[in-house]
Amino acid sequence: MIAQQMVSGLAAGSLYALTALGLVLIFKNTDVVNFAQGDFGMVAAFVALMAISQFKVPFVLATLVAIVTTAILAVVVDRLTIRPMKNASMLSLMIATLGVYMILHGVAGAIWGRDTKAFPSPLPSDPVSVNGVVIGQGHLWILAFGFIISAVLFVFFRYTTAGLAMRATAEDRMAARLMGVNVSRIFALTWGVSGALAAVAGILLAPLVYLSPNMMSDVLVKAYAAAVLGGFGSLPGAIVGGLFIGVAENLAGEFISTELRTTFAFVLIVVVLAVRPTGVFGRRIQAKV
Amino acid sequence: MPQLQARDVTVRFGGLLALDRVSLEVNQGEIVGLIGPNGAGKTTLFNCISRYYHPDEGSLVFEGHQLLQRRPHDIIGLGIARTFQNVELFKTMTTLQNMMVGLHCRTGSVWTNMLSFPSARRFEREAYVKACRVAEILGLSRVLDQVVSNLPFGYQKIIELGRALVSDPKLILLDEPAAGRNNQETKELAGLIRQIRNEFGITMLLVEHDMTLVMNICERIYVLDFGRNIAHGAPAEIQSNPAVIEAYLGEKNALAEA
Repeated sequence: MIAQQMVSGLAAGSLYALTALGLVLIFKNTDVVNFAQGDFGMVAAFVALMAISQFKVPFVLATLVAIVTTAILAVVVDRLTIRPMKNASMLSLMIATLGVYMILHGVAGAIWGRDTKAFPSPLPSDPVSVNGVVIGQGHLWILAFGFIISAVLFVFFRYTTAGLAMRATAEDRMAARLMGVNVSRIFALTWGVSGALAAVAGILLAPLVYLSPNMMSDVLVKAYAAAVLGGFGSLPGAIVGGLFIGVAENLAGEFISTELRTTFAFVLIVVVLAVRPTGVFGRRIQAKV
Repeated sequence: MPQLQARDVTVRFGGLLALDRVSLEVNQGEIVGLIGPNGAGKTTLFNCISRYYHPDEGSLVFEGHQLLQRRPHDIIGLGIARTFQNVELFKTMTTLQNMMVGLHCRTGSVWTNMLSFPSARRFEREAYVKACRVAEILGLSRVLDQVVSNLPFGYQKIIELGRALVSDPKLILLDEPAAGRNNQETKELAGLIRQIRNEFGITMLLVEHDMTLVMNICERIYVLDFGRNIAHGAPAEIQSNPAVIEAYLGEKNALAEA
């Protein structure tokens, strides 16, 4: 029973982690706290659904179309809302992304309706039994994709010059620029990659829930918690934070109370942050004097 | 025609005249020093060349390119690399990764790279080989995989030089390369700067307070004081120039020792 809850917790955690990765990427590279991150995933799920049910596009192709569309949407959001405000305070930028969140919500509701829709998944979803542990295949798929994407990101940031340029920009924008890094292109790339990450999370979540403009709200809140737990700035931290929250809420649901599962997870976070205010993977910030 | 030509460069910070019609010429393959008391505007001039500051007046031409029409991230692509007074390395990265960022200007587009076209992949491998070669020349091979923030300041300055070298520059702007080095290490640095110029034909323009180093390796020297050109010439001329001695009054010993 514990093993089962662990696996479904890790699966839910992967979704939080994917969304948190996008949040942290954008925050690290562009200093923006993006409230619209979850809705990028929601848009992706609807785009995929529309491609499949209205245009009869095969699932894999529909998924790719949705990911690319969302990545472009994220780049456009950056260009139209964030870039013109580049000298604004962090708080104003946050409110701007909150505006984007409201807009995406409203537009999605207008286009796709507020009633919930089921999302067809070609992936087999009947539970399988591994060593007596019954696991939903949907969860396994999420885990697999979460793992693959984390690995790809790891390689990208460690071994490619584009990845290094992105890290360089996050660390010292001016020095990066003087090293020939086109910072505005890096910003676009950051938003694009984050949009794509949210899209993957949205599409992975879609078969497990019903599609609605609110489908990512819960994930977004937990992704925030995951990012903060991980130190809001650390990519491994976002992953660990996401998985931790997923597992914690599932175990709490199993052993304490289903009603209080989320509450319990957040109590844990508050405790962890009380002990380590910079998050588990965060660096201590010390001002130079 | 000089490789780099600054003409009447003027920078104002509010009411302060940081650079007042400063002119300077550097020829291909030369080692040129830029000296002056603190606050004379030496680093400000570097920052104008890197396009970090935009001069209020004047022009900067490098190999026929009007630098003031270029964006900061284009400068390294034209062949001008630099180091910084206070070391601006990417602290969480290793020596090797820092040097690979220096190669970024040669990668073409981020997008090609992202999609990892075969040419991009070949490039990553070449980048690695090149960074290793530069590290060997600079004696950094041992620390290639170490995170730079764990290394001593002297090492970090050399890594910056490595990052600059990797970008295939025609001109390197060195901002106080000898800072934090003892006499012996400064001597080694002098040899290194000469070697880089001789082997690769890279022009060197350096801001430096260590007069021994400046007088030792520079073929020509420009002197700034309060944002103005006050002297220019061979080391021997500069050492006996009354205006320079005046500017360095109180620092006279610095000149005499050299």
